Amino acid sequence: MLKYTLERIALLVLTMFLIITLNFFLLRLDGTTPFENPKISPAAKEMMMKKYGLDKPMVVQYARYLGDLLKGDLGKSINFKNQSVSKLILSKLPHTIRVGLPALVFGVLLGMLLGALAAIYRGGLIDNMATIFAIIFVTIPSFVLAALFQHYLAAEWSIFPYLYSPPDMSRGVTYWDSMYSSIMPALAIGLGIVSSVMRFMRSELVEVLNSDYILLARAKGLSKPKVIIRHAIRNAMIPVMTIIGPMTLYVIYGSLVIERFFGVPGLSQLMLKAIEKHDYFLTLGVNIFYSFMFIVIVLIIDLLYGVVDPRIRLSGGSK
Amino acid sequence: MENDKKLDKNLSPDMFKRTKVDITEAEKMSVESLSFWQDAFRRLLGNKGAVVSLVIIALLIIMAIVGPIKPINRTNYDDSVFRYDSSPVVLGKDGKVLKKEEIFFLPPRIPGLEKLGFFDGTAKAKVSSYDLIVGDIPRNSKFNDLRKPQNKGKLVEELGIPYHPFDINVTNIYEKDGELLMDYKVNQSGEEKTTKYVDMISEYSLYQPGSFKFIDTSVDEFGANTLTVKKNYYKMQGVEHLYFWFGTDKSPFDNWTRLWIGVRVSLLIALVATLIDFSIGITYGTIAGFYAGTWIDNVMMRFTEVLGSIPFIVFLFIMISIKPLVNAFVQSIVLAFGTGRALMYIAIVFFAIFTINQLVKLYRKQISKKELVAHYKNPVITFAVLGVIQAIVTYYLKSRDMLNANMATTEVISFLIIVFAMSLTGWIGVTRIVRAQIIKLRDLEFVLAARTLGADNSRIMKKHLFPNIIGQLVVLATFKIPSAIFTEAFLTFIGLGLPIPMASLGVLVFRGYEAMQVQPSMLFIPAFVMSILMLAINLLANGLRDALDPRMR
Repeated sequence: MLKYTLERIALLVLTMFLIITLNFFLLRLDGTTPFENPKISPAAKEMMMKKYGLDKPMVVQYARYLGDLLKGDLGKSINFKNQSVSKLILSKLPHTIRVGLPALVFGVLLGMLLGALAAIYRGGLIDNMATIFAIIFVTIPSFVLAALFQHYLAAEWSIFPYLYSPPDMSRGVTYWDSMYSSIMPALAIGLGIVSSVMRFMRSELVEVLNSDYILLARAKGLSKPKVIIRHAIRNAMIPVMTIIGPMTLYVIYGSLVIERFFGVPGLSQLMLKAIEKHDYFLTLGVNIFYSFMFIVIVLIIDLLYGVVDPRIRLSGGSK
Repeated sequence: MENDKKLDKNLSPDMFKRTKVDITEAEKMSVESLSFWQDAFRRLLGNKGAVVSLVIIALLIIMAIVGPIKPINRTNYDDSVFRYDSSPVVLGKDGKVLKKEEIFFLPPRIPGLEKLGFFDGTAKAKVSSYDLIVGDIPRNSKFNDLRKPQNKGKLVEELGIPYHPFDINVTNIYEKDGELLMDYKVNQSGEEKTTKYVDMISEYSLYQPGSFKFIDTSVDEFGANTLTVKKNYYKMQGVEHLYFWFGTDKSPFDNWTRLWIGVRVSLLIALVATLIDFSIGITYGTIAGFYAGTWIDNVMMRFTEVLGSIPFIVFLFIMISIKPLVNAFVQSIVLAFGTGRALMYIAIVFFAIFTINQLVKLYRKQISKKELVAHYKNPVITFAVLGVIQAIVTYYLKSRDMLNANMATTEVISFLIIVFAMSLTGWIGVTRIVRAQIIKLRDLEFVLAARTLGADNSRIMKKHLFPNIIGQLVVLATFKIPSAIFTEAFLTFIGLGLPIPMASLGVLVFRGYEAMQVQPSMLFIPAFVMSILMLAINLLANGLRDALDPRMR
């Protein structure tokens, strides 16, 4: 296990290095600078290029960037008043998390609950309702859901605020107000997760419930609820865990659009602004951050399988 | 037992006749034998959900083909039918062409259905009392001055209306004895009055009698009076004789036409992206799976692992950042193919490789000269020859300047960029599955048998391994299409979509979202069609999975 972990971490470092290199050079391919404004005089442009170290040869810049990166410095943003990229990312991250995390937790928990209910009462009313629910929310894209919520829940019935509002005491927005305004975006992302997790949980639990050891447990004299909680759900949970990884990624992708809809000042907003303004270091920084997050999540989940279920052989790292 | 005896009594030998026994008949099947696909299709037809989705998909495809062909009353200025970059001519009642700016955001209106009360060209809207009473006054120096709050009195005088909208609260508008009346409360004195509606509004009011229906009124905490009315947009814009089935957007494009063009483009993007994913994925996966355990597989799979560990969005971000460069790249590819040059190169390379291969075999005495000639009938070679011919023809045309070098239009390029973005990492999943399947299959006896009979690696891959996984691949591809439609919409939302006049379901939903508060149907109709399409394809894929799975037989 330790060997495998170390191997994976080594691969992670190698992959990150490749990603950084790829990003660094690909983003420069089109040859434009962030200072392509006609208002900026050539002299000023040269000065700015010098200030951000963009005047040196690419290889020198690359080496310097890698050196800075080892120190945890992602460089400085060009458009955002010279702030450091890592600081910008850290200031935007809480908003992304505030919307994404409830979506994930809500989605996975409710999905498991509904899936378990559907499997236990298989063929019954709950099962049919849950299946219909799952089909509807798997096929309706999250952005359509978001638009529907905004139209009905916010504009027509005014139950929720139309846009997300970050907590800001000076404007009288308390932490709870902010939480309340994050419900709609979280729901828009979360409902898709509920149905995916539900379908998965249901099929796993149905399989477990039909197995012999459940019959044995019943024959031993355990009550039905006890069997389900102690034996069935526990065993069904292990494969369900595998879906949490893809779901986390789903949240990250989903938040790209949803943040735009609800005006969440999160990571994707930062990214789109950076691209729009040719803010080179910011684009690079956010790209690296996204990749890092992605790879670490995949790694953690892969390692967790091994911890949770020793039967899952991790040799070779193949899926 | 008793029954048997009874039977015995009733039966006598002369009731039976001995027929000729034909041993060969024993081997004959009484039921017509079914091929794998016939059987799968029969089982698919037994699945209700799959059949219904098949019908829905077929309907949508038919609509995508014929839907935009004949837009009613909507030929373009140059007599062509709908194109992306042109808006339709709209004729007024007197047969004159209406100005583009005069028509915008018409709601759906369908003949027949409008009598039942929906799709009747009306929509609920919130109106400020200022719009209702004063209306859209011209923007010139005289009125600009009057618009200022301190000139309220002068404005009222100029327009010839009794009150400024800020001085009254409208409480009701209703019809009585064939006349439209308005109840209102004067804010300062508090008295309630009733006046003829026509006398209350200026000539610039957008809400002339008959063009709307009063529903509700409200006054908010700041004292602003808002009315909810059911507007008849067709009457207001003077196109009462027209029917835009799904309404128009602000340009105005006909939403009906755009919807079906959108379905067409979305399906096309999904199909092309899936095709690319699968051709790369299958080739790559088959080779990797076949050589599993050797360094070839190791290198190949490491590559996909590294590529796959880079999130899709990072690629997208890079592509958006260097969009002009990607544009130029795709354009050069399109041009190369358009002028036949790329095809020529490919053909020459194919031809060269094949010839070298054959010559090597001849030299090693693996094949005779006769066989060498026979091998050139291979379809690959046909392709190569055709490619060469086409290249020569194109070259000939080009040398005489008969081929416009600017063949690559913006539409094709933006279409290809989306496909390119989707296929960048899309093939990896296919590769993994194909490889796993091939590894499972390649140690089975029939492969050994084929090898014993002298089949070489490429023949085993093509003729023995690949046909065995095709069923699964069909299912996988069907599942891939809805996700590709979704991804296309997703790309539109983050700014890598088709340019504005073009239509795809994603673009339509996005435009609809922007216009949601003005005209919700612009969002709901494409969103509904998109969801139905995705649902139908998903259900069909489920049905196919069950039908193609031999274990379910």
